[in-house]
Amino acid sequence: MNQASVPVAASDPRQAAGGAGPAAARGSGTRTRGTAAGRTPRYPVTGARRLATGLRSALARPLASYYLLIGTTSLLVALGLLMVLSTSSVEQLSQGGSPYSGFLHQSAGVAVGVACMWVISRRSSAFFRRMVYPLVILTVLALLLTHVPGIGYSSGGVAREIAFHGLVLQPSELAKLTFLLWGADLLARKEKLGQLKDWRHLLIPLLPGVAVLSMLVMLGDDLGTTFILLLIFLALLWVIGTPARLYAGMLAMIGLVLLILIVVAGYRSQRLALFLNPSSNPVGPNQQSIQGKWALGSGGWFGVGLGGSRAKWGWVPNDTTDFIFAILGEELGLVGTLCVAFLYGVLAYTGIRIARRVQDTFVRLAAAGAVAWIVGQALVNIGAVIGLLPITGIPLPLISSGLSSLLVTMVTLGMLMAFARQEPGAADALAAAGHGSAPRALSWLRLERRRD
Amino acid sequence: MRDGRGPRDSRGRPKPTSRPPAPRGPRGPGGGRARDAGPGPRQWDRSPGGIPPGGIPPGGIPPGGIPPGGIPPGHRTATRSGRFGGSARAGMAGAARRAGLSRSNPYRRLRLGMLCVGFALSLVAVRLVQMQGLDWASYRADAQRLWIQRIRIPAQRGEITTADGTVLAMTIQTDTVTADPPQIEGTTRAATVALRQQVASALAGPLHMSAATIDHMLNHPTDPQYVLLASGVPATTGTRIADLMNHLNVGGIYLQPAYTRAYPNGDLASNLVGFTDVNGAGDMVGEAGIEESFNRLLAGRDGVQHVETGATGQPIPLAMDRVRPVIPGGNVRLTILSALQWKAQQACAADIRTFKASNCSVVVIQPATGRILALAQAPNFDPSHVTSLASTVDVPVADEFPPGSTAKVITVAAALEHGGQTPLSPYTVPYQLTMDGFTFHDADYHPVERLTLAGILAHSSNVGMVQVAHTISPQLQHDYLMNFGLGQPTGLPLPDATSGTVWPAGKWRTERDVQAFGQGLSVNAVQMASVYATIANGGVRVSPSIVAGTTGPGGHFHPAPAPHRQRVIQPATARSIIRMLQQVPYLDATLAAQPWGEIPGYSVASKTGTAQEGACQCVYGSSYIGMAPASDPQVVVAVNIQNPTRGGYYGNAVAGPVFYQVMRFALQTLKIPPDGGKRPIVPLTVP
Repeated sequence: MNQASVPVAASDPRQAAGGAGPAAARGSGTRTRGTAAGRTPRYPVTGARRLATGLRSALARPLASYYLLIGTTSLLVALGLLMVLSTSSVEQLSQGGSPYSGFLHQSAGVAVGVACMWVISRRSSAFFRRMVYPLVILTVLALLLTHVPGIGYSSGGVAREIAFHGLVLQPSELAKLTFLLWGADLLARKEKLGQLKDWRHLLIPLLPGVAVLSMLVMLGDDLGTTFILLLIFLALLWVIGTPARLYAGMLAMIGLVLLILIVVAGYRSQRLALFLNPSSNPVGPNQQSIQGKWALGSGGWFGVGLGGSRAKWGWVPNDTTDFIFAILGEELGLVGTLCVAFLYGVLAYTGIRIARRVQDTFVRLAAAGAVAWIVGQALVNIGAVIGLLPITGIPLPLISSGLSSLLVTMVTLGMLMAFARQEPGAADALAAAGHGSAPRALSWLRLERRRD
Repeated sequence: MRDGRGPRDSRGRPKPTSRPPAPRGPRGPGGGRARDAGPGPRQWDRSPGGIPPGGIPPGGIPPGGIPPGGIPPGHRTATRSGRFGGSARAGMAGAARRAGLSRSNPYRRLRLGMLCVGFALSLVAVRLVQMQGLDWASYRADAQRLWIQRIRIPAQRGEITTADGTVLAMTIQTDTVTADPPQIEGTTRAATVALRQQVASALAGPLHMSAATIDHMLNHPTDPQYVLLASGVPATTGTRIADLMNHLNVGGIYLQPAYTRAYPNGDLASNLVGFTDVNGAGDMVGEAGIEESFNRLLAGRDGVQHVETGATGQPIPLAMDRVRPVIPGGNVRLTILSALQWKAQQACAADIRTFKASNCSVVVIQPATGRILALAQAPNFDPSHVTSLASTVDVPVADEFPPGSTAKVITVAAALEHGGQTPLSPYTVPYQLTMDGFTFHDADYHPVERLTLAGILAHSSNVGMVQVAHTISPQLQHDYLMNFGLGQPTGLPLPDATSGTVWPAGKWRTERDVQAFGQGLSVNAVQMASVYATIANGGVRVSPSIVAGTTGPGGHFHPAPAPHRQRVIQPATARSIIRMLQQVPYLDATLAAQPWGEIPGYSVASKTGTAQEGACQCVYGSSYIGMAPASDPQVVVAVNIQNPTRGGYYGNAVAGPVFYQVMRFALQTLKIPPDGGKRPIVPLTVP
């Protein structure tokens, strides 16, 4: 790393936001051709080195996390919309509807989600902490409502849903965010009070909390969400620094609980048995797994083209939700799937980067938990499609069709953006980048005139 | 906010602060990255100061956080090795021990977390590269096996026609009628019963089945959703059924188009045409005759259409649609004349009924071209309903028999050309004669006669022919037999055609004697007809042909290649033999009152034959071969009847009537002008 250049470049918010001042020419010298020529390099500046240096200096800027979040979220949401359009059109057509109805539904969700994200991203961390207990009450109520006849009903035998004026909500999605905020807030307060010297304070009431919430979710027979809740729980414990021995104990316990949950429900153990000992009948019980892999594999390097999927014509069940990655792989090929994997990687990197850069324990825990949830969910979903994990039936965040998952995920990412704006130097950079959101959002294009 | 409290310059910007180098890779022993590496304040976020405004590069924050107020440049070394100094570390470690819980550094934990995510994502990436980058072809192949429907487009089998265009074999489209009973249901049980009865009575007429049978089939399907009602239903009937079902507004009756081979003229030339069968792959395959030998041309090539469909079978719009085009079957045109063929079959069939014979065959040849105008047999079979393979044997080409007296002309021809004989050469012919250690006798007893060569041939004396054969060498006799086409493939494209047998001259014992009167060798009917066609054609043998030409997939007619022509005997020899043969009908008419060779207005040259067959020599083969008009022969008719068991066995009596009818009909059909019917006078006895 170019040690000398980074602080100079990044500590100047105006310059970071776009001004190519003399300091840049003197200090970093690697941004543009003109400034590079103005400096005598100590060694030949090769393309790769120039790129790496440029990347580093770009990442060193205070708003890098914020823009990375916006970028990856937009790309994933856009890709998701595209894939929902591609896959749902067939389903809608076969039901005699408009091929665009699924897409329009999802687009409406994206529009609401973007608005929510924009609002949320401008809240302080205190706001999120204030929202914890209202959210807890709302979530518990909503989860209980799913069992009230007439309001709640089950779909596909797994997820319990609430029908509300034609809108279908899945409270279990909200439960993930609620538990994340509650757990982060709890641990942060305990740490502030200095109570975490005692291991009991680490687990109580966090462990009972996750247990109760999981039970509420499991009443709706939703193991996928339970798994994500436990993942968030483990992430919180991990980041707060739970000693290895205790952590191992918790892992073992959770593993045992999951095993019991699998064994008690016949269809889950059947699923696991199928994963371990797959049937070869492509239209038998393993149809989703086998034909999902066919779809993905037949995409090849560059895919069959957007909209060109064959598997989406009824060969792969749940191709708009849980198995949308298979269709994505078929239509966009290895290039597309690696891009998606890369985008989740960038999301993980950004979340962890935020967690490392902020000084607030709550923010750190919430950011790390959000990463564990979203990226973990993506990994479990993709892992099932590519045959590395058994099928659990959870959607691919931001890409799968489904408003509840989409909205909650976008709100969570909005929260991460709010955290990113609290990073050191971010506020100043935002203030210096210009007034109004439009110029700020476009500041990375460096369209402004030089000020000096 | 805590950040931004570092040193600032005059414009409020944070002062550029240098930071310790980011750690790279694992640290050395003194790196302070061990588990207890957090000697700073336990409550991480309460450390004042915070991160320098320059931000922290990825993976670059030092474990343990940032010391209060940032890190002064001068403390770099200390920071790198020990971070906060020994005293603080010792103190905090002690506190942790007292609390009984030593929490790990969250920054380190976060970095490990990132490593985990990176590891998991790289596993995913490796798997994706394997699936999509390396093995994509096999996944695609597996998928396409299910996703692509291969639809066979059957090629329509070509036609077989006669020379005059009568269709002997053709392909028609028929429908297979099946039902899916669960689709024929009313709202109640009684309604279902009523509806099915209605459907059954509607179908009864078109399918020629009783309504009760159909109703029973609908109520007792072979498979819950399938029952075959009828197959081979003509397409017009299929259309009518579809209309009826539309009218009733009932689903569940299905019509599947199929091709069926049809023989519109029944058994006309069926021995020649053959028949087809459907093989395991569902293809029509010719099993005999022209259907078999021209199977490739007639069948054409099926087309294949690849259609990508969804799981419910609907074709995917704009998807791949690869098609291998159909090559329709070609047509075969025979040299047969349908009317003549029909007449010959009728005459044959009547004759074997009269004489209770095993079979009868008629070959009609045009001498100048070698074209077979009729190749009839009785009994014959209906190609649409073949009961046994034995019944489909093409008797005129497949059955071998000793020719008997009709073969005498060959030895006579050799004797005329190389034995120094003339039609008037005198012979003394007793009833029986011992030659080469074997006693020969004529068919009927007669006193010793003085006959000319013409007389020997006209009276068909075996004893006389043995003497004629001795005027030439065995090898010469053999060569003449071979040159006339005996013992040779007929060259006809018929799968069961035989060649007959003529033994090599070197192995002969009594063969030169018996072959002179047509025993001791075997021939088929076409070969014998060809011998007379050669004589009729002035001694030039034209290989017999049965196929006039073919029509390829493009619709162009390709005439059959010109037949092989070879001079076998001199024109004068041929003329002499014809003149001698013209005496035969006259003798039959005057001596036996069997005028089968006498056709008013036409001169006929013919020869009868009665062969003895079987180990007991008690099975007879009766034949009658002749040509007309003798002055310029235009047509040769060869009749052969095997094993007549009632009312005689002599060639003229048994085969004569068939010859008479067919020859008469042929002369009329071919519009051959009469030549006046004059018979040249050839002395048969020596004066």
